[in-house]
Amino acid sequence: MKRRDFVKGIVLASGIVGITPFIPAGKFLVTTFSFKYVRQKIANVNDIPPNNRLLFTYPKTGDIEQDSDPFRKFLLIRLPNGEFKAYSAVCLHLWCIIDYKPDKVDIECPCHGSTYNAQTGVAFKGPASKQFNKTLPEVKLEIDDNGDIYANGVIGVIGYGREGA
Amino acid sequence: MGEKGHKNIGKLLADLYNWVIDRLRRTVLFGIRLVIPKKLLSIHGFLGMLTLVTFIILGVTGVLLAFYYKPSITQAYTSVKLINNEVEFGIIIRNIHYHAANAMLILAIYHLFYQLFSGKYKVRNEVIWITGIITGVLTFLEAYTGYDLILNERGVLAINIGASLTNSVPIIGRTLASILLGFGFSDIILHFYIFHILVIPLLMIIILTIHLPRNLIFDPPVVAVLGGAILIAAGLYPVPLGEGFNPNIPPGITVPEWYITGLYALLRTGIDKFVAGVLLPTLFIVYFLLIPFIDKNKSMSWHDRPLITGLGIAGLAQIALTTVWGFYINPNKVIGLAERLAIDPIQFYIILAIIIAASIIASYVYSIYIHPKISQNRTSNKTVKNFKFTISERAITALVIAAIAIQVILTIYSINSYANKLYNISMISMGASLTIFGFLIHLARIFSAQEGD
Repeated sequence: MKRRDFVKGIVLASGIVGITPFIPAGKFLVTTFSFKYVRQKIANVNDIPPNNRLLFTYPKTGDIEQDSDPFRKFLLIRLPNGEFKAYSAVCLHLWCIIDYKPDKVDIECPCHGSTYNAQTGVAFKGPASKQFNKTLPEVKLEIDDNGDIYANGVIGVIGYGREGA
Repeated sequence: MGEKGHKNIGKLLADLYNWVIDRLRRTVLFGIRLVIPKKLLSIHGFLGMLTLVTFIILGVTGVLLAFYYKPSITQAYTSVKLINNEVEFGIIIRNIHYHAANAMLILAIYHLFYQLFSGKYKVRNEVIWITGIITGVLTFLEAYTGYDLILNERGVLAINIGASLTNSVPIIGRTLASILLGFGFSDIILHFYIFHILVIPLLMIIILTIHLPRNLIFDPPVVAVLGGAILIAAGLYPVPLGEGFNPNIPPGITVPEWYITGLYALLRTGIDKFVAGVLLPTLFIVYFLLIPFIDKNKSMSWHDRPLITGLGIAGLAQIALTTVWGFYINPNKVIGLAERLAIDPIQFYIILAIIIAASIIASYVYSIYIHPKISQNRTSNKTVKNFKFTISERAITALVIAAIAIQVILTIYSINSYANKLYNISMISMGASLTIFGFLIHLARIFSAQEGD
């Protein structure tokens, strides 16, 4: 090996080694796909009759700008059998706000007619049902002895569903 | 001060000018040669420069708008409304920005296809061609990120489609969405804002340094007319505010801006999102990037390269067809929204295929059968046309005085209309006055050319 090639090789190797620690810094650009989902009281069982729903903000920050984000909007649904379910209110198709329909006992998107099963949160009709991601993110609910309903964490990614989360 | 003092000031200014110019020769500025033509040339030769002029107009008006705009969910729409309704000249600045963007896209497309059909990407211009295509794509993204910022129904629809397309990319989709959009609307609006006012324009400026040729033709009359046209368009078709975004109210039927309806039509055919919205447009762009390497023909004239010309016509026709089709929504209100928006994919893609085939066949037929005959005829009865257009000095003087008089009237009318809140008329008058200014400097050019004879 020529002396000149050896020096070139060393400089190259040094450069590569020097740059390596900066590569993971690319993570700076990658946002975490969640908010801080702390335990938060959202309602009381008496606030919502069976076969009805309530739109709530979670996690609530008190800041109007942050709290108006559709990604913080959830539907608390009391099914006809009295069971409570809470799903992200953001449709998985094009992020419109979906709503619970008591007469059909399902969740519908007003924009393009995507329809979700209220029991499971899985889309079975409309454009969202044809996607890979078709299961609405669900809020983990806790009900205490006073009937207070607490949200404590979210399964899935808002806007992107539970698939591959 | 007498005649002598006047002369001295003139000499002083001339000296100062020469002193500054001499020093500027040492800077990068003089690496570019700005040519101001002495007569009216075809605009085909400097469409790129006109596109650059609109880019500069957009930069200036964009900075002004940024003084008032607020990238936030709760304030984006209200801040644009403030610009439009309350801020002095806000409505005019906003409309110039909007229509300059339209003009920039139209000029960029025109520029692209002129260069394509005239084979300008040959003769060591391959890098200029490729950077041109990249700048074109960036221009499109710049326009897209711009019209969403207002956060009206139309903007949010476009944001959501963009997010959905990003997420549809296999494997890296989620990471890409995370980097480009962040999480939640609060992040999205901020990201779009940063892309629109900083990242994309900066990339465009950097890439333009390896796109702009060293010789640039700057024709003041045409530039003035372009500015006038933007103002007149702004007055005739002022951009509405639209309905502010409210996540709790389902949006009505909205169609995106004209430069996105093509993509919108592809998406509405219901085939896989990634294929329709990402893969097909990417292939379209990649084809354009590869043209200089596909077309090895030495000839620059379009009828010697029937395949490339045919594909070029096909590309233009596809853009036109998808764009127009994207605007069409089934007016039958009885059926659901999803059904109204649906486009029959078989019908759609068969027509696209027919257009491609027809363009190529037509191009071959023309260059093999029709063109040789035409050029034969042309050479047989070629007559030398050499007439010179001269205007008498008197006529020019009369025209110039009339033009200035009309300009004065238009300016007064414009100021008066603005004071009476007739903003459209004000913009149209401003535009007309600027157009007349363009004609006037053209007349001055003819006049000085005659002096020189």
